[in-house]
Amino acid sequence: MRRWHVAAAIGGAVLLAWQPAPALARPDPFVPAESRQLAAPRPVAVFLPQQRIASSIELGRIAFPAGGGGALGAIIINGNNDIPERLANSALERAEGWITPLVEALDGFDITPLASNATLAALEQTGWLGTVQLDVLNGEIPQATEGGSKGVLVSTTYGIGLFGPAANSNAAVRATGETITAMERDFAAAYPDAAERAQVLWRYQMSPDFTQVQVIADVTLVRKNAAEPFYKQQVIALVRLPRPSFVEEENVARWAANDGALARAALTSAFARVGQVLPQVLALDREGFAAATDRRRESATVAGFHGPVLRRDAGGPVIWARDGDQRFAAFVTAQNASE
Amino acid sequence: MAALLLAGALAPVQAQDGAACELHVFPTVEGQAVTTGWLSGLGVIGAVAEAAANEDRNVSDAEYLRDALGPRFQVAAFQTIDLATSVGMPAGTQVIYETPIADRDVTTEVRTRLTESTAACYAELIVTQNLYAKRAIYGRSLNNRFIFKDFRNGVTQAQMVRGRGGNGLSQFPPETPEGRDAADADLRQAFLANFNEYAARFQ
Repeated sequence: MRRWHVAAAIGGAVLLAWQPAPALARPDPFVPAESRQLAAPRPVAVFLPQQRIASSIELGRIAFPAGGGGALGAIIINGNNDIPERLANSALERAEGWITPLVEALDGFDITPLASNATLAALEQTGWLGTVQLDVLNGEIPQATEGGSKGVLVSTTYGIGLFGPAANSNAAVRATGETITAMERDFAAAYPDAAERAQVLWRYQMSPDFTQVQVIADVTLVRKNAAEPFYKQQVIALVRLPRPSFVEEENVARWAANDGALARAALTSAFARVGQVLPQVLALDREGFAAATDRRRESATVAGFHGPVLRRDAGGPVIWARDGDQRFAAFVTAQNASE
Repeated sequence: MAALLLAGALAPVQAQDGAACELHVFPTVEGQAVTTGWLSGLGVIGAVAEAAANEDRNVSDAEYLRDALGPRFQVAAFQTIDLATSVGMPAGTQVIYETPIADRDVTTEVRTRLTESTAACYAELIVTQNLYAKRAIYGRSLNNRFIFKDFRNGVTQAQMVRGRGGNGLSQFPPETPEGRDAADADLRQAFLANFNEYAARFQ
């Protein structure tokens, strides 16, 4: 068990609680029409930080371990509360055990052409975004081993913190963040004179219950010498397993059968789907984004996500989904796997 | 008893009134655990000391609860009762178990259908809380919350019938590995008792 030094904790936690938060500007979810075209086209990078499909975890709400002590007690307890990280570690450990047959079945499956082609498909319809000479940056998230956290985790979940949603961070999540930051740094260093850079970060993972393959694309635009992007938008394409089981191992077995045939097809389909959807998302200006995310629009629930419908086509609906508790906001589209 | 079908295996069953009725059930992935004792009443120092003392227990209890009363076991428990009748659905209603939805904004706020089913006779039952608590005065208990949404009679924006149940536990958490079976049975019995408390309003 972690040592609790009460006296030190009181001072430390109180100090931490009153530290001012860094003032970071939140990136816009749209690019105004007048800001799109630059004199020199933006360099475009495809970031692929993963070497294999990732697990994901869902912890739900985590009870706060306080039964008294007032506001000061809650602040101190919150400052020393590592229950979320411990639960995240053990959930990841279990998920990594379940996902192993699928990881083995996908051994050698290269998602680089899938991500590159999807990015190019979006670029072809979004000429203003940047050059079609893609820089493909491959990374390798180190296998986390610190503090019992073993595995590859590319999505952060959030719990109910004392001061709002608090990340269920662990070593695996931190390793992902560091890998992505290094890729961003390398890309910036390669184009020191570019006024702006366009980045497409691709992640892919199983849903926590292994009923979905999920491909996540984060498109960001970053200005020269800026630490944070001024534009960020996310598209998630997921492929659902028909008639899934509540037993995780059974779902994994179906994805992994025949050298991962179902998972390979799902990943191929999901990357391509993002490429189909991205142009419409990138085309949204301020008014377009406001209209697309207006709650008075027709809404739909798709694979557990809910929100206004951006469009419907043969690939199914594309919805704008938000989850304030999870600090999540993305355009989501879902397809069904066919065996 | 209503037939068990997983989502996607839609084979309509005719209800007594001639309409094909569906009850879509969403278990929860949640598993919260909190233990508090007498020290929590002794101000800041007591609360902090107790949180520290109970940390390992809160972690292990939460993990155990998420495992022993995870979605598959909630479903298994529901399968032992006439679930559709419990919430006032007609005999012959097809009970379809859906994969859990983690986003509470969706499960607790959205009034439209959470599935793509277009069945005219349609309802949803959602488990929204799975909490184990051990209190110094009240002892050990399992608490569950439920929401029923009835879309029958052409309703497109359902009213949410929210409610809860809480019952004591005697065997959970297990003291020894040999006690796991009894603890698991204790949990699932309390879960059903909680549901029956909630569902009494439909009778």
